[in-house]
Amino acid sequence: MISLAHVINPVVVDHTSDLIAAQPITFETMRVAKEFSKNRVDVDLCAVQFYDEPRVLLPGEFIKLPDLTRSIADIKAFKRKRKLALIKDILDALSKSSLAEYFIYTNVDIALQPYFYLMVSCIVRQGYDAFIINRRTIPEAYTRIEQIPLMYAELGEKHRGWDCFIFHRSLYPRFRLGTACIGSGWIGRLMITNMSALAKKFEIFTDLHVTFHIGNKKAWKAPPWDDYLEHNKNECRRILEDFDLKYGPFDRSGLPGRFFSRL
Amino acid sequence: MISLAHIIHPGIVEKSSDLVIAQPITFETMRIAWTFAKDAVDVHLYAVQHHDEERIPLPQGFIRVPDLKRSIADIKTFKRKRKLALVKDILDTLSESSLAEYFIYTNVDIALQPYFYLSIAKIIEKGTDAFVINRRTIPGRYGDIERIPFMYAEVGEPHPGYDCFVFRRDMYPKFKLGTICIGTPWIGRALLANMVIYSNQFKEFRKEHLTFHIGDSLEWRKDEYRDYFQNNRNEYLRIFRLLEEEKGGFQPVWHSYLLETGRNRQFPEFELWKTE
Repeated sequence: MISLAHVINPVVVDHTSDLIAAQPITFETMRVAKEFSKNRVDVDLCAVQFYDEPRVLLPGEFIKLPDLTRSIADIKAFKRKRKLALIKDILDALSKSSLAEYFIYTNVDIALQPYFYLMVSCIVRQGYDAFIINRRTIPEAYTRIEQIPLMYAELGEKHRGWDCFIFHRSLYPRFRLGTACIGSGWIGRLMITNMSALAKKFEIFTDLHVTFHIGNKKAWKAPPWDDYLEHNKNECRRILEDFDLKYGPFDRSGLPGRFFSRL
Repeated sequence: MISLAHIIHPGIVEKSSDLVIAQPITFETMRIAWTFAKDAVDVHLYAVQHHDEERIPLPQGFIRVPDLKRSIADIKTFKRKRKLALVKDILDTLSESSLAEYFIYTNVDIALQPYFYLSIAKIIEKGTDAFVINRRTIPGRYGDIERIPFMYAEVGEPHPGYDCFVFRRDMYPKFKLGTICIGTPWIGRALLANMVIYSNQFKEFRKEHLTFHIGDSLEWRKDEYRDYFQNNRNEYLRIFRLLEEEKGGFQPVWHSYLLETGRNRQFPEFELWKTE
């Protein structure tokens, strides 16, 4: 039986955040998806928070990983301070705590269709050792977990962003993630750089209905946060150039080589 | 807890039929959806066969209802004999066998997403008491129940045909279905027209991801079966006139929706979710 460890980074948010509605829906759909795959896929649901924040209420099925002891705000000064986790710290916490064969990281606003883990195990059985599944965006009118059956039924719209990453644990020790932080752009490209350079068989699935996101506000793209975007872009550039020397040269029309044109 | 009774009409099929592949997938996805909904919705799965054919083994959870004693071939003569069931006979046997509040009829080649019954219950809770759900057509390459997770994940293509009907049971005694038979066009319109006239709130879900069909071979469109098509169409026109007389006429958009085809056909506005 394939074993999967899926980590998210729940956060304490104020009432203006979209996450007020999205997080509980994420938790519940993860719980349901684990239950749906019972006896066929071994799934560990993991959550990691900052050490100094109140505990987010999680379903009993979740494993709480050791806390994150720093954020990007401890590393660098930005115009406006935001306590954003480093993707490396989240995945390090998972790697140290789990023995699962495959790791999954999704943004905390990504909800799962019930068959998500079954589908992941089917893709793994096809030989993929790293892959990304793009979400579907559903109408933002949904806000309550009681509405989840209607959310499942929404086909939604295709979305170009990357927010669900799955890879074999053996790849992780060679990952280079620098100090890139979640909650801003370029994380997807950084993960693709690592996954596509290191995997034997990598794919981005853009047309599957296995995850969804409510609405599409893109708050992280707002001007007050552009220096976070710039930081992540620089981290991605540095790692992409290093990987190009070490594992490349990469084809400039394929992945990850085509990211050079965006730098 | 809302109770649903869902009936299908499985049959013994030739090796060349698409149903050789589709039927076991329908059974399995219905079983999965039934299990998934167990704590939230009271679902009963039913199957009905013709009296004179070999029994198909039914999966766990299915109830066999009394056999169908006739087919369209016992009522009319066609160029090529096909033993097609009358939708009235299928629903009559369901009505006599079940006390559920809502009835569901789907074609036997329609597979269900795992959350199908949960979503149905939510739609009903929101006040819709009769609705059709159009399938998504997924690629024809699938044939193995082991690959059901891939089928679930397929976005597929929308399909205009009607093959999944849900309605409140207490409407059923009023339904006028004549000798409309399954397995050929116009059965959808016949059920639609009855559902529209006897429901408080009817909807057609055209793009939702609730059911799927593998491939789109359109076997029933073959020219050799044209007289079945014509027979169902004539029967539907007769039923439509009866319903129209009873209602005293339909508004133009509903008239068009129920009667016209192709580009001329108008659609009332239906949405899965509307912010109140």
